[in-house]
This record gives sequence, C-alpha cells and structure tokens, in this order.
Amino acid sequence: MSFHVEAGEIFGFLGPNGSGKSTTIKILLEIIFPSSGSAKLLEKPLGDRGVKRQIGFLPENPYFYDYLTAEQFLRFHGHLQQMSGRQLSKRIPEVLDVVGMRGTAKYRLRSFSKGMLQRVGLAQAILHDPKLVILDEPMTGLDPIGRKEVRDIMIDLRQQGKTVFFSTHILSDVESICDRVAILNKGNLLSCGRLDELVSVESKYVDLVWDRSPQQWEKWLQEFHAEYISQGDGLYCKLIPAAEEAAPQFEDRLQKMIASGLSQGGRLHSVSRKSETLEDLFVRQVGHLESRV
Amino acid sequence: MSIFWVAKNVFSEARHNKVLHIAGAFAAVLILFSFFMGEVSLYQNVKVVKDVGMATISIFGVFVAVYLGVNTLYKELEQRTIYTIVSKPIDRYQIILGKYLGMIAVLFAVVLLMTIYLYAVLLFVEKKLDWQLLPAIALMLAEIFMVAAIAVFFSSFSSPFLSGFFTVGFFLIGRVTYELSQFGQRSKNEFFKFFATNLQKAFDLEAFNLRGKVAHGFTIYRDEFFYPLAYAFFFILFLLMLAFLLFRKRDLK
Repeated sequence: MSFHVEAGEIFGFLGPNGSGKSTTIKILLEIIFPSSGSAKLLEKPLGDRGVKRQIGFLPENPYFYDYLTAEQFLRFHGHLQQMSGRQLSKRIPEVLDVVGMRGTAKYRLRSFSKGMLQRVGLAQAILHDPKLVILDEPMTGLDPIGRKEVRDIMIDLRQQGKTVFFSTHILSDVESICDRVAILNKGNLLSCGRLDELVSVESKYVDLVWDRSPQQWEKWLQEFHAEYISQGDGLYCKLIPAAEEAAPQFEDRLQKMIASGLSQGGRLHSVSRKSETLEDLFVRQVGHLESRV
Repeated sequence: MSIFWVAKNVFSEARHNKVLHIAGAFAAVLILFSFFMGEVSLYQNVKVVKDVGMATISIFGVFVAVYLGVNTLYKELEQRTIYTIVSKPIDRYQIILGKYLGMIAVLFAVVLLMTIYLYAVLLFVEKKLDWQLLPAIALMLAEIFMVAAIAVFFSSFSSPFLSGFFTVGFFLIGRVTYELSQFGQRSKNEFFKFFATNLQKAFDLEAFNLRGKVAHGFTIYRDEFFYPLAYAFFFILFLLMLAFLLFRKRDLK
C-alpha cells in the first residue's frame, strides 16, 4: 500500500477487522518492523527522535498502569516526551479539561471506566501539543456523547493546524469529520482520497411515494421498470438505474414516469433521491464477509 | 532522563505489588523464626540468627529479582502499555536499562529493609551491632543484581515461564559449580574435569556467599570481596548488552 497524509487534515484509515490498520500504525511507530517497504513521518524516516517528539499516539483498547493516578500517569508520559515538571503542572489540568476529565487528576486509573481510560489516553496523546496525532480506534468503548466529544477534539486539533490520523470502522464518525480517507482490506489499499471523490454523487435509486396510485398501477410499474415496495399505508415504488444506464437517461426515465403517473390520475406524495453513502462504498469495496476471511 | 522515568515507574509498580508484600512479610517472619531456632541450638543462637537471617534475605532477594525480572517487561508487552512508551522519543535500550535500574532500586530497598530488620533482631539477641555482616550482605546484593540481569536478558526474547525457568536454572547452576569443580578435580574423566573446573571459573555464584564466614566471625579478605564485585559488574554489563541487541528489533505484538 502507498498513501500520504496532508498536513492539517483529519485522515480516516478505514478497514474491517484484520485488514491491517493497527499493523500499519504499529509500523509507523516502530512497535513492529516491516519485512519490506519504507515510510516517512513528517518527511523524516521512521524512528527519528525529533519526529517522535511531535507525535501523539493513542493505541487501540489502551491499558494503562492502574496503580497511578491520572496526574501521575500524564506526568510519566509527559516526562518521556521530555516536558519539564513546570510545563506539566500547567498542561495537565488543561488537557484533562479538554477531554472532559476535569477534577479526576488525583483518582487512580483503576477506578476509571473504559471510556474514562480512553479519554485519559487521549489526554496523554495531546499532552505535549504534537503536530501529528495518531489514534488507533479512538471511539472504542465510548458512549455516543463520548464519541461526539472525541470528534470535537479532533476537529479542534485540525483547527489548531494539527494533523489527525485515525483508524476506525465506525463509518459515521469518518463521514462527519474526515477530510480524506483510505480504505484497506487484507493489507491492500483499496482507495484513498476525498470523500466526495470516492463516493458517487449520482443517484443510487429514487423512492416515490404515492397518496393515490395511477390507473393500471402494475402495468405502469412494468412500463418504467420500477419496483413496488409493500410498506405501510402508502404506495411506494423504487426506481433503480439499469447497469448501463447513464445519469441523464435515468433522469429522463424518472421524469417520464412521474408525468405518466400524474396523467393517469395518480397523486404523488414525495420523491426522494438516495445517493451512495460511505457505507455503500465500504461494502462495495471490501465486499462480503466471506471474501474477507 | 527517560531512563530515570522508566526506572521510577518500575519502582512505583513494585511498591503496589501484593505478591511482593506477601513475600516480604513471609521473609520477615522467617527471620524472626531464626531467633527461636537459635534458642534451641546449643550456644549457637547468635550464629544461627545471622546465618538464617542472611540466607532468608538472599532467598527473598533472588525471588524478587526473578519475579520482577520476568514480569516487568512481559507485563508491558502483554498489557500493551509499552506501545505508548515506544511511540515516545525513547530508544529501546533505554527501556531495558530503565527497567533494570528500576529493579535494582527495588532490590536495593528490599535488601536494605530486610538488613535493618535483621540488625534489629540481632541487637535484641546479641546486644550489639555486628558490622562484619555488611560485606556479606553487599555481595548477596551483587548476586541478586546478577540474577535480575539474567531474568531481564531472558525476558527480552522469551515468555515469563521460560524466562523464570532459565533464570532459576542459571542461578542453581551458579550455586553448584564450586562443588562440581571439586568433583571434577578428583574425576578420572578428563572431559568432565575440564568442563567442571572451567565452568566454575566462568560462573561461580558461591564466590558471592560469605555468609558462613561472617556468621562465624572469620576475616574477609579484600580479594574475596572486590573480585566478585568486579565480576558481577562485567557480567551484568554483558547480559544487558545482549538484552539490548535482542530487544532492539523485536516486534512488540
């Protein structure tokens, strides 16, 4: 695989379990070593100590020394980042505040829930004000509010000019905050780019809901190759583009169908267009479970 | 400075370790028990307290060295706490050295506390402080530091069970090489003779055992003290360097 991350963006690293997301991150941080290939972080070869000073990292499912208090834990990691005691005294309350853990500095980590540990881990990753923040599955173990807070932190980091690189398989998080994404499976990069470039803007299908059906409903559906959907009280039908049908032709077919329906006494309630989502793209690219195993 | 913080963390972890607390309490009871053992021995009560007390410190120290040595690094790997450490501007050798120095600090504190405790018991029995014990205790400490280095060396590439097994094996071999050499010198098998005598020259932990001598009040010569100390220093240095090399490119899965 080959990809690059632009400075100052939020980059989502997507893939199913076992696709190689964590492995890639571990290689970037020299937790494990590649059998071949090379990588650079902040334009320097891997392992450069100067670069490591500018990186913050939160591992997946972090486990931290539970005998330490939140403050002792952050001090330990701050010292490893060569921060002074005075800097840490100022910075620790700030980062605990940022991750929503104000007032927990003196509590031991063993008394924290999984979500709280995740937040303290995140505080550890941003403690030294790094240029690049690498987060491996940062939403794991967080409730919806916690997830939103982490997303907000990532957006804040981007606004401060930091680069955020995070792996996940929660697609809604990616759609809402990422500038660019990479999708990988079985260690291969399937696609990489801006979301609006990857996800097709063309209609995937159109839903039509009728309050009163046109005359000869079934014949009319057949004429336009529409699909009847039995659902609730309304009369639903779905129009799907054919395999070789271009967007203008599909649009033409839709317009003719609506005009025909109305002329046959139908009363239209709504028309809704469904475009491809990231989830559709993900499923299309990664495929079914069988093909992943 | 990173080495210092890693070492401090090892010390902090050991302070909260319940296994070490229980083992320490057991050792303290054993030293106290030596007082009663001394009472039932004929005119030898002080010697028994000294001998059993120092042996207890030695056994407890070796236990702590093996326990910490095989677990400290392994726990970091098992619980993946090492991931956040490795991502920092710290070299792998600094992690190993920090871990080892942290263990040294723990072992020093443990032996110091036990020694103070032993002297308190001896003060009660003998009504005076016998400073002659200190060289023997210092050599015991050097031996314990060596055991810790062996454990760190094995744990840099092996599982805790195997590391513990190999470390204890090495320790026991080191304790019997002197006897083995005595057998070898009387043996008619030239190969065994060569092997046993040279093994003792290379690795002899009995050289660190002055307990019997000081308990009986014999004089300790300078060579008996300084030669093993120098040996321990180079032995530890050698093993730590091997550990650095093995850990340098290890995948921390």
